[in-house]
Amino acid sequence: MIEVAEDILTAVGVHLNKGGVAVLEDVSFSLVSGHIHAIIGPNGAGKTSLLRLIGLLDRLDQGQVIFGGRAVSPDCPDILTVRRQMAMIHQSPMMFNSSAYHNVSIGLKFRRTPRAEIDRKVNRAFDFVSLNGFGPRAARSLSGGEAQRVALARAIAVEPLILLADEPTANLDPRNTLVIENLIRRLNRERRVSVVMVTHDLGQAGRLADEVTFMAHGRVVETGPADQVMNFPRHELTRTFLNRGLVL
Amino acid sequence: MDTIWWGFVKALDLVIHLDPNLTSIIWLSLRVSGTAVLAAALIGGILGVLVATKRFPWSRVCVIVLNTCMGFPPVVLGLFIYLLISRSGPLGFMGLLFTPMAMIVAQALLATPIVAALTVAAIRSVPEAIKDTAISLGATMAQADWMVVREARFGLMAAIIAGFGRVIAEVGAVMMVGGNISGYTRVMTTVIALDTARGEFELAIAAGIILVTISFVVNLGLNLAQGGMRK
Ligand SMILES: Nc1ncnc2c1ncn2[C@@H]1O[C@H](COP(=O)(O)OP(=O)(O)O)[C@@H](O)[C@H]1O
Ligand SMILES: [Mg+2]
Repeated sequence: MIEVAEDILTAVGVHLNKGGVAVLEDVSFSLVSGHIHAIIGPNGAGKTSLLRLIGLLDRLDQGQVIFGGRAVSPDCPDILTVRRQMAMIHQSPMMFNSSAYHNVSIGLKFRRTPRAEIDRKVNRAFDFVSLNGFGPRAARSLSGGEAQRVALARAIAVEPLILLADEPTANLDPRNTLVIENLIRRLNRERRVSVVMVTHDLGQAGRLADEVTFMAHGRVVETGPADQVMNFPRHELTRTFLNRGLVL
Repeated sequence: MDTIWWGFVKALDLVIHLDPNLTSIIWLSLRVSGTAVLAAALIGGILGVLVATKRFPWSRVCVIVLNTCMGFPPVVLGLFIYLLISRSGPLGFMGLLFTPMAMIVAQALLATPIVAALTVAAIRSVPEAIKDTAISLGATMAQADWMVVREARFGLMAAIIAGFGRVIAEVGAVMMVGGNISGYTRVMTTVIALDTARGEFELAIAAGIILVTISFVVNLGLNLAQGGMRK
């Protein structure tokens, strides 16, 4: 069987203003089903803003986000169904002030999943991130690495089609960074979860991504297969960023 | 000097031997303030949650009004209620004047804005990211709001405890609408105020000891709740 590459999530011609400032200008982006797509770029480029838009947390001013073949927005009547196919993790995970178990189960509770099924899925999620036995621990007392793994378990317990990750390893040491990277890779390979990940770590983009999008000043400068963008960038801005880690 | 000394000794005697007159006063104080705070927790809590989580045009004004009411002079409130429920007042037919019920109403009205305003503050102090995280995990708007309220739970507890602390120590309003009737509407604060005025100190001092003790316990509770909040 030949798998046809198909976009699962797309943004077309997106404009976004925050506080009167253009944060995103004519941004287009597409995530191929089953792929990992890294968004790289300097601070303030608009990466987080784009991720929040495609996660349907914010409203855009112009353009479209397309999911499942149609335009979606936070104002759609069935927004919940759409949003429930995605999950998100962040640079500093915001843990609810309760046990790790409660944190991981919360997405399933929102979905009114039966208790026995919650139990099974939560245990499976803890198992996936190798934190068996961490359920009773107070979520706010976990170390940075553990917290990010619990956040990942919390995100995948609901079995999303798409994982949106905003610099998930920015606060972690190299060892924990590798752990998270491996988990994201396994999630993608074993469970066919499509991933959009914002990262400031170019090596990470190279290691994980199928596609890379480079953003600067609220615009997409360059996008394409990871190998091409990382090794043979077409745009001058991309070259300076890859070589010197900055954009002039 | 002698009167003060003897007052203390006799007061301790009343406390230690659980003098029935004293215990009935303590019991009524706890019952009146407890019931009032229960009502205030319900009304003020719901009001606070609504004002803090729902965005509506007048929500800022609501917060300012609540904060103003927090410091409303109890005697003025007592005056209003007195005028409402006195024989010739519009609610005079209910026969509430000089009853425990009137005292409960007065204290509930005093505590409600306190609970509401502190509830608003507690909920507003929950990071925005809590709501976003809930929504990104598939919460409905109501579920996300609930998670925010849940995060503020220690603050809500502190709000209720603070309301209790305020009303149990309040004297002006309960005296005016309760009347300090022995065995019926006499509470710790009114017995302290009025017995002292008559130069009879033992019961007043005994009630004072109990009131300060309760106040200590209340503050201990507040402290614990705030400790939970910081976690
Ligand atoms: N609430 C806001 N009001 C005004 N400007 C904002 C707001 N949030 C973000 N910005 C601006 O939008 C730009 C993009 O921010 P962001 O998406 O967080 O960038 P990145 O994640 O790439 O660092 C930045 O210049 C930032 O200052
Ligand atoms: Mg960012």
